[in-house]
Amino acid sequence: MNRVIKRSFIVILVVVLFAAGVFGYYFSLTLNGEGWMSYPANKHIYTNGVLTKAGAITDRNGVVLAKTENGTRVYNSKKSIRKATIHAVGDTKGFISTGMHSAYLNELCGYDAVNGVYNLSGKGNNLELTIDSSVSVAALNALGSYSGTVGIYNYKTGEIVCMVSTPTFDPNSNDTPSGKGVYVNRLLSGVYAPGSIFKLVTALSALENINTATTMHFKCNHGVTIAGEWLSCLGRHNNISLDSALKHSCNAFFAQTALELGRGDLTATAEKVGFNKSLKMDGIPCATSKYEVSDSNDIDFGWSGIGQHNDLVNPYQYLCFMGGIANGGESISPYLVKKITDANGRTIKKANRDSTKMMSEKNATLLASMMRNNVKLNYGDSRFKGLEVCGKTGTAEVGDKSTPHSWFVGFCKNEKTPYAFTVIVENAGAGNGAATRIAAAVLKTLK
Amino acid sequence: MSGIYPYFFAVSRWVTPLLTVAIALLWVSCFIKNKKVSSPLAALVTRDGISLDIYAMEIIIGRYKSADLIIPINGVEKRHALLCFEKGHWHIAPIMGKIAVNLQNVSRMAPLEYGDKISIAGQILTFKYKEDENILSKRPPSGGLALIFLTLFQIIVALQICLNVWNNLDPLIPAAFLLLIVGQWAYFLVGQNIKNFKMLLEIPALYLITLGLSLVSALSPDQLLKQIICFGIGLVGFILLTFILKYRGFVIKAQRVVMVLSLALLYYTAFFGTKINSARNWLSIGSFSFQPSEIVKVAFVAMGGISLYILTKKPARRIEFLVYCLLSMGALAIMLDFGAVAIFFVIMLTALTLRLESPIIISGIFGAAVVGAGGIILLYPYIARRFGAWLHAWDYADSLGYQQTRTMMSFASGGMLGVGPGNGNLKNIAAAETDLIFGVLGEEFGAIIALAAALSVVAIGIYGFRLIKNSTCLFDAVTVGGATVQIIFQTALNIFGSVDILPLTGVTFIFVSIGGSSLISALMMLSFFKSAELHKQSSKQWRDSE
Repeated sequence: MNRVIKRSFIVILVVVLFAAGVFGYYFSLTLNGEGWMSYPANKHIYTNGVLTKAGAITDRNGVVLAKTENGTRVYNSKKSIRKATIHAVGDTKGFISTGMHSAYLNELCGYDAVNGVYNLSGKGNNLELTIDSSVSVAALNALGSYSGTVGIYNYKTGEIVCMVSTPTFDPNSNDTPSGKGVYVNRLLSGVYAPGSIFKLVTALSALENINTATTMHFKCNHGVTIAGEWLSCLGRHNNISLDSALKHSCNAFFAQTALELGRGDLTATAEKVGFNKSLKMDGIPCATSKYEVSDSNDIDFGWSGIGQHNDLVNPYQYLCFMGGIANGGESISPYLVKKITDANGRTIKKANRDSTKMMSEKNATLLASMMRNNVKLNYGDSRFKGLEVCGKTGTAEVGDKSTPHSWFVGFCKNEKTPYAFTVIVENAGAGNGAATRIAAAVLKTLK
Repeated sequence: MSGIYPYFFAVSRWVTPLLTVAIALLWVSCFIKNKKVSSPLAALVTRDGISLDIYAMEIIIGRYKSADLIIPINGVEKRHALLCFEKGHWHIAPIMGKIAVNLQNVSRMAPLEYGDKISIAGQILTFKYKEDENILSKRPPSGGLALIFLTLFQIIVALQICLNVWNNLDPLIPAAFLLLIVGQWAYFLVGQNIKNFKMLLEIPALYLITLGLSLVSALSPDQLLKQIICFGIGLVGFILLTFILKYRGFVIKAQRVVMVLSLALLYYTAFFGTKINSARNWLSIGSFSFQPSEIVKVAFVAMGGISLYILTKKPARRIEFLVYCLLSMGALAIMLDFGAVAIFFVIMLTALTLRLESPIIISGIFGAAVVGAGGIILLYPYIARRFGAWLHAWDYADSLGYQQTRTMMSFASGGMLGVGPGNGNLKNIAAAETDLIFGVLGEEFGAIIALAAALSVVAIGIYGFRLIKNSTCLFDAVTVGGATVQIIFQTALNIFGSVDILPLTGVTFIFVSIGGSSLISALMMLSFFKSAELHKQSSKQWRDSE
């Protein structure tokens, strides 16, 4: 009898193993449940694989961008609005993973871990976005046939008013969308070589780490020799200072500044403004900007200081950076979802504000005034009448022999139009061209 | 009336999990308060007045630790003698040593009376009745409070189901719930007159039965009448079997008849049965069809208990049992019902592990089984296919992993509180009412109640473990062990199979899956627990009644 009682541990072992398995399953459920729930075969929220149980998505002025009607998901009646906002709204089959239909599926369907897909009304929740559909259409038209993105946000409140990515497509069309990366929202998920827009980071690092930054000079002889190799510049700027180097986008000055700063200081500044960090926009993960020079030799490090070498920039990260300069060093995090309301109009969730201290107010003001000078003396202030635009262009070499990408980043200093922006136009040539033209066309509509 | 359903459900979906938590806590409290106070049944007293207490109804007297009653002096053998309580009397029999009772040498099993003097290796021991030292002044709780909360739970769930389909409500649904509530209270009140009676087993079982009744009412009310009838049959089976198991002599005599009958039933089914879903494991009599393997499972547990019951006598019984096991599993293999093969095998292995002397033999059997299972997978490609998507269900979401992914998807859709009985989607998928029932539970009743269902099985398992620990009789220990492991293992195959933790084998979740045979089988399986619970002190009762 004793032996039987001793051996009975195998019975409790089986019980314990079973209980462990059950808790293991529940652990897996907490981790993966949302993913399981959102499988397109789930008839609670999809009909024939198309998302149907979801509330309406509207822009900041109440224009309906997508809603569920008679068991199907319908988009705005205007083709231009559909095409301009599809990357923000998302398709119904989950190809655009950063779109609201995917990233905010739970909120749209009224799903949460406690209630599941159940709610009393049987309907989903509504999302009010911060984007302005008419500004978005202006951006779509300005981009024309180019691939690229226009991101604009209010640097005082964080509201993203424009987030347009091309190539785009019409969700109402039955044709399979074409174009390279048509489902990619380039503002959030794109990464590009920065070119000269990176000089803003080098300039900021100089202001932070070199006492004589505003008065120091470097020689530019159509370039400069670094560690026996030639780093070319577009102009012969002779003995040049920081403010005029930024105005003329002098490669030699910023490459030598980078070497003066050293890898550690420059990397530290880059990381402060968002490089090498996994940023999120309203909880949606964005592509990461990269600044990695720890293993580079001097000439490569020099190139990295002017946005070449292996530098990579995500347009959204630069939008946050511009917001930081514009807002006195404090970058208000951009957001897209203004509020979530249930079927009865009750507000369930409001956007939560968040900010990052990127630089001192003094350095922000210094950078801003230099960027203001760029526009006044270089890009033509008359194109941005009344907006007091501060900016920096960039021309990103693409490596192969195709035309470089065209960048324009900056913000409006005017109190009435507190907007920061990033524009990148793929294969459109110099920054002071397509990108500035497109930025001007869109910013005009914000007045 | 149906207009109030949305509001009623919106509120009551919070109440049912709370009641569940209350029931669980009350069960735990009842379990703790019913902790065994072990009292010896009898004792052997030396000339010096040292009392060697006897706690079980089968005792080996020997010299070393492997014995139950140790007399560490020269001349006492390792396994010297056997002391056992059988057919209402204590008996003694020599094993390896010599014994005398009242100076008369004993060579075979001899009856023993209180006051008899037993000589072992020159020592004289007096066999004495032992008075209870720990008589409880207060009867521990028998679970009535938990039953009150369970009744509230049942009323609310019944209302959820009825209001949801108010306009074409089948009156059988409220009637079935009423019957269950009245029945369980009658059972409880009658039980109050039985010594040692408590609801530790019944509370988790009734919780599962309630979920099973709710699911059949909400998912397929057309099967409700059949389910009620089967419940009635199972209940009668449960009471009868609990009663019969008290009469060990009769049970032992019936053993061979039951073995032959159950094998005949299995083989008849294997060759002439009805094939449903790739396994020929159904038997149809007119419009009534059932799964013989479910019923034989109960007999199987009992056979293990009987064959391994008697301590030293008749080792042939063990050979007989092994042959019976192999033949049964052979029949199930012919049916291609490999889920059942696994369950039968686990019952057998548990019985042998509890009982057999040599761990080498046990590991040998286990090793042979692993090789056998490998062989089966190689021989039957359809089994191998089931393993194909195992742990990768989402990679084959619309093919081999279809049922598993739908189960997980639906389970997650229910959240913690569920979308309400009858409002889910998983029910429309093949085998949802049996194999995937855990997913339906999660979707319609929510993750909390689904967890409570799984933990109810754990509660039955823990209670079974305590019964073995406290058992005074080998038959009880072996049968409760077999039944406990069977219940746990089968539920594990069901739950984990449906959510891709184990391969999907298509076995039922006791009481919860819809199906008559498994309901009858599950109810009868509980007899072993109840019998062990009530049997514990029957040797005392026999003395008391004299």
